[in-house]
Amino acid sequence: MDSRSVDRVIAAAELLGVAVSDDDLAWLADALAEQRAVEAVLDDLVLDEVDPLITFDPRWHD
Amino acid sequence: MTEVPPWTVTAARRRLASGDLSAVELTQLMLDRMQDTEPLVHAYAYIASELALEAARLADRRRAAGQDLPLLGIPLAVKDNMETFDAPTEVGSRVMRGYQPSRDATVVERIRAAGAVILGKTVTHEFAYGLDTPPTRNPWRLDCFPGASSAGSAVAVAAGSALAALGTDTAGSVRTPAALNGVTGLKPTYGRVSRAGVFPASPSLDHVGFLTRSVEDCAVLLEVTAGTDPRDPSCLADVLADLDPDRVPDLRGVRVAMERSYFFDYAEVQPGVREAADTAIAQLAELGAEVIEISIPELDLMSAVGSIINLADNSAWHRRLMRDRRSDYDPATRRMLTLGAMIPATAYANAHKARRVLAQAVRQAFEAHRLDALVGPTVPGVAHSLLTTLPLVPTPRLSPLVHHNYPGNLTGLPVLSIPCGFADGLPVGLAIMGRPLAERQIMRIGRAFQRSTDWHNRRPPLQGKSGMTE
Repeated sequence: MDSRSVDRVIAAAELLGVAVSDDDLAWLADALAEQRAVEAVLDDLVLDEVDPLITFDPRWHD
Repeated sequence: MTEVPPWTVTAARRRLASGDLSAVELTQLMLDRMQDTEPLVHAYAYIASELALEAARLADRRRAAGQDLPLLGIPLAVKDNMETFDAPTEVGSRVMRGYQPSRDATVVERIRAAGAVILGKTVTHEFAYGLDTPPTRNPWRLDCFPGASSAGSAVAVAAGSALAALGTDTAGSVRTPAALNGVTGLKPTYGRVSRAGVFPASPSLDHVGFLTRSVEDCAVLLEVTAGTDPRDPSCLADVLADLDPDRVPDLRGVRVAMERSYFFDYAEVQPGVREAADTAIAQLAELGAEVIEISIPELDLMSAVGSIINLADNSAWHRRLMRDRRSDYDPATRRMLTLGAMIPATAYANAHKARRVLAQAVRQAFEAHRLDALVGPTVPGVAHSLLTTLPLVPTPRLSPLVHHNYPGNLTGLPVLSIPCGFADGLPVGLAIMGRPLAERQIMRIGRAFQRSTDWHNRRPPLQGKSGMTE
C-alpha cells in the first residue's frame, strides 16, 4: 500500500469528520478502493425513475 | 415412521404433556449437556442455570394446574443481541460489557409468555457484525468455523445444549450457521417477527429468525412470535397461515426453480456442496415437485447493493459509540464501521433504488414461472478450518457466504435452510426461498424433505464428560 493512498484516506476522513486509527489506514485504503469498485457496479443502472425501497407511513399511530 | 428424536421441541412437548418428563428434568438435562459441551464449543456467552431451573419449576406447576402453553417447559437459548431483563446483553462487545436491560425484546417476551425456559444467551460476533472470531466452535469439527453471526445459537442446537434458539439474520446470520452446523434455520418474511429490543445492524435488512432441529420446530416458534408489535412499526399485520403442513404429505403441485449461474455454477461453490444440493433437489422431484431452471441476471447486483446498505446503516447506528468508546471495539469491527462512514450518501440512495429493481426482478421470476420457491445451496462451502488464518477483507469479498444470502434480506422473502447432506464430513444446507408471507409453503417443502430423509437427525460426534455420544 503506497503512502499516497494512505494520505488520501487521511485527507478524506478529515473532510468527512471520520476518525481513523493509524492501525487501520492501510486496510482502509484497500477497502475503500474495493468499495468504490462495488459502487461503480451500480453506476450503469438507470435509476432516475425508480422510487427507493424505503416507505414512509405518514399516519399518526398510537 | 422414524421415532422423533428426544431433542426436538415437538418431541419434547409430547413428552412433557404425557408426563414422561418434567420441565425440571428436561432443563437439567440441557444444563448437564452444557457442562459437557461448553468446554469444547463455547456456544453460550451467559448461562442462566438458576433462573432456568426456577422457570422450569414454574412450568411444571403450571402444567400440574392444567395450563398448556405452546412452549411450556421447553428450554431455549437466545442470541446475545436480544435484550433480556434478567440476563446481561453484551452483544459480543466490550462496549456493552455489563449492560443489563430493563425489559425483554418483544420476541423474548413472547417466548416467555408461551412458557419457554431460557437457558442463557448465545455467543455472537461483535454487535452481530464484526469480523472477529469468537471462541465458538463447530461441533462437527472443533477446528472449524461455526458460521456467523448466530453462531452460538446454531451450535447450541447442534450440540444438544438447547432444543432451539433465537437468532437474527441481516446477511445470512441465521441461515449460514444453520447450514454449517447441520441444523434447520428459518428467516421469516421481513416484518413477521418484531425486532423491538434487538440490537439493530441494518434495519431494513434485519430479521429475527430461528435455529432448530426440524421444520416443525421452526413453525412452532414462528407461531408463538409472529404478529404486530406497537414497539416495532415495521411489523406486518398479515395473519400467519396455518403452518401445519402434515395435511399435504407430498409435493405434488409444487413448482421450484434453480438459478444455477448465481447459486451453483461459480468457482467458490465446492463440488461436494453442489452435489449434495443437486441430490436434495432431485429428492424434491421424487416427492412430486416440478423442478425447473431459470435465470435472474439481476441477482449479480445483490452483493453490491447489500454491502452498501449494510455498511452505511451499521456505521450510522454506531456513530456515537465509535466517537465515545472507539478503543473498546474489536479492530475488525472498528475498521468495518470506519469504512461504512465513508460511503457517499449518493451511493446509499442509489443502492435503495437499485434494491427495488432487484426485488422486482425476483418477483417477476416467481410470477412468470409460477414458482413456489427458489432452491439452492444455503452457502457455497462447508465450514472452513480456523487453523488457516484468513486475511481481513472488506465486504463483499468476505462473502461467498453473503452472496447466497443477500437476496433473502434485500427482498425480505422468507428463506428456510435445511440440512441436506454432507461434504468432506461436514454439513451442507439447502435454502428454500418462497413468496412473501409464504412460510407455510416453504415449510411444506422442507417438511416433506425431512420426512423422507434423516440429515436433520444427524448429530455431531461430540464426546462429553458424561460420555454421551450421538
